[in-house]
Amino acid sequence: MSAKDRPRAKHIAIYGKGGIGKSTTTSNISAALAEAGHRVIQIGCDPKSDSTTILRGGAELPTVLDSLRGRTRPRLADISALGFGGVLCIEAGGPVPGVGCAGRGISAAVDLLERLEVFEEFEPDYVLYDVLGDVVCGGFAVPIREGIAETAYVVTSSDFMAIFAANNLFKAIDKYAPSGGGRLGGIIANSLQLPHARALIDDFADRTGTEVVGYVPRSTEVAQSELYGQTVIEAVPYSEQAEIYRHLARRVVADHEGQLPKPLNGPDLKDWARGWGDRIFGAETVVVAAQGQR
Amino acid sequence: MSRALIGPAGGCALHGAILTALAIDGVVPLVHSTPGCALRAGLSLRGPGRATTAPAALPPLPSTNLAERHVVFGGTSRLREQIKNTLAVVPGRLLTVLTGCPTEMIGDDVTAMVKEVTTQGEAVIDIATAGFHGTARHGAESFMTALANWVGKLDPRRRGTEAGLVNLFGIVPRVDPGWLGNLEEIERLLAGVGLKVNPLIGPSGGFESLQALPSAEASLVLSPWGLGPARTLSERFGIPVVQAAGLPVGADAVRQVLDLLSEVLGRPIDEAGQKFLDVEQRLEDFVLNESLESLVGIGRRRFALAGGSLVAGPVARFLGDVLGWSSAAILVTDDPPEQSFGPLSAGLDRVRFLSDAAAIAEAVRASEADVVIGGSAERDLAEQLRLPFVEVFPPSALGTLSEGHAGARGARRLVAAILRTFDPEGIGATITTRPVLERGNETRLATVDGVPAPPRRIGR
Ligand code: SF4
Repeated sequence: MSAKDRPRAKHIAIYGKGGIGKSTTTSNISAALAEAGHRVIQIGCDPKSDSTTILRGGAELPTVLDSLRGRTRPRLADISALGFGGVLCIEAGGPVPGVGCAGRGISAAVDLLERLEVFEEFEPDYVLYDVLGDVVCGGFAVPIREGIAETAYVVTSSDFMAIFAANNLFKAIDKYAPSGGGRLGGIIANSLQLPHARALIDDFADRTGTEVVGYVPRSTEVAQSELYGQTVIEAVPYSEQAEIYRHLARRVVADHEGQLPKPLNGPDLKDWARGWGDRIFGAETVVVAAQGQR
Repeated sequence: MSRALIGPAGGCALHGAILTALAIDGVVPLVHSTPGCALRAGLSLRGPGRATTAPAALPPLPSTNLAERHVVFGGTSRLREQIKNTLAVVPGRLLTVLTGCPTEMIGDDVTAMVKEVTTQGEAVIDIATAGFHGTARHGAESFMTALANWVGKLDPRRRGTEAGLVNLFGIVPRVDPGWLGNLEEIERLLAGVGLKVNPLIGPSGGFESLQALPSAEASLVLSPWGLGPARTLSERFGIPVVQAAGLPVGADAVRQVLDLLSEVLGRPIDEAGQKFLDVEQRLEDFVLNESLESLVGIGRRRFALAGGSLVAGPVARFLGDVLGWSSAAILVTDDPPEQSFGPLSAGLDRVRFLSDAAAIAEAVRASEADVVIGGSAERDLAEQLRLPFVEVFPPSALGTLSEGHAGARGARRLVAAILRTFDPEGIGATITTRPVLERGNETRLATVDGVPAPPRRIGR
């Protein structure tokens, strides 16, 4: 099939607060899609540059921005590596913390990928952007601006700060959607462990008019696979956790209407969090009190 | 919602700082920003829309010329290299690192880079002059303040004063029209009463003048843009600040400023000084007597005037107090700080502070003036409104060549400019070919109560 006949690749951005497990989630989604026979590119847009590590067995990969440091124009081969299932792995990279502008770094990296005609050359079915979700400046919104990615997902745990970051992303989506920016696909609930976690995220989705597209429980298999530098799909393909990621991958790439979220404003978000605080600690107090009575 | 300012004069803060540095012999500017920032400094000398390329006269200007990778990864190592090279190849006694918008936004630790070389005994300072801080005049003031701070730290004890030495602040080189001529004239006027100007900028300024700042007996501030350095010197060394109501235009204004100075210095103007001031006064009288016939023919005008805070008020005062004209609109266009609005408009009517070219045009249009006075921007406007135009502020590119308006000599040039517009033949009658006559109100204004209105004061 010639490039012209191929349907345009689907570009999907996955946001999440730093440390929330978005790279693990994104990599497992990429692996599941590759396993199902799709051509996938995963682009890490996080100055930490470790988005695709578990797809590549932990091998070194020069970042796109590293190539910008030099004077010669890089080739695609210099800044990409094939990982599990043929996933093309790219890391945007970024400056040393406290120096320069990481936001401009992401813009510059995305620009360069376009100039290198990566998408024309590799002919992917899916392009996944794994983006640091603490949207602090315009640079981090680049993947959802100007329609680069048509859909954005946000990975969150039941931590308040992760929810706060998700709410910020909703604001960015609302800002850029009218001028052709991406829309929200939904929320991916990650690292679910505590009993209230699922209810809390469901309630947040409800309040913001959004949808939870997958629930990923905390699992030792994930941690173990990562230690081997692999995704769950690769390391323990027959596990329940791998099935969960396959299911999530199907949901994420399925055709559905993107949403315009209704982010909570500052005071509302605080009130909402306080309400949940009371409920959770109230519940724990009851448990502790009940145990004390025994 | 905010919108872009149309036609701010003289470029951004960085450009004001660059132009000031280039006007102080021995002080070398180093621009830490993207290439366009340093280049614009040359372009903006010609005013918006005039230059097509960097002018040949653009002085050599060290610049880090940052590229995208420096914005992403930080530009400090590039700066370190540029400081080193500049110190090696550009002769100078003080290197000033000037930051532009990109470097201040990405947060380059410029101070640390500068410290690296100052600990090795080099004279280098860094000054935050990003364009987003304000206009060229803002930048010039920050620059001067930083210099004043630097000499203060260099020599924290005041090593005695030099009798009669007066620091001069508030004229922004190459941004204020006629800056050099005005500077020279102020030097001449102060010398006439036995004082000596320490100008910092211009041919008699330079690095020695910078070192002499703490030895002055007073700082004379001619516009709000000179307050920063003057206050710094006052805080550090107790040097009194004498704030004038702008450039002294005409003999009266000169006498006022010099009286004020002599009072602050506690040094009455001596006989020779009084004689000098009398000569100044007589020069103005001669000028007015010579042009009396023409001025009577021109009549009392209602003028709209636009200019910077250094000159707008003073020129308007001369037109009002000496020629008896009245103001339809006095527009101060350089965005001075609000605290200075009061002093700048003292004794004047219909003063407004507008820096947007569109707003200025609208104010002139609405003022019902019958003559427009200003610089090249106002010339087009006057043409549109079909009003006579008196060009008193030359375009900034010619500002260095023009003589300015300080003193009685400045007043002479002002009167000459008026006559060139209304009575170019010098025959004592207003020209009749001006379209303004079609407006119908010309004769009424020219002849108040049926007789041509004489200037309010001719001779003593
Ligand atoms: S406004 Fe900022 S970016 Fe523009 S020339 Fe001035 S310093 Fe440079």
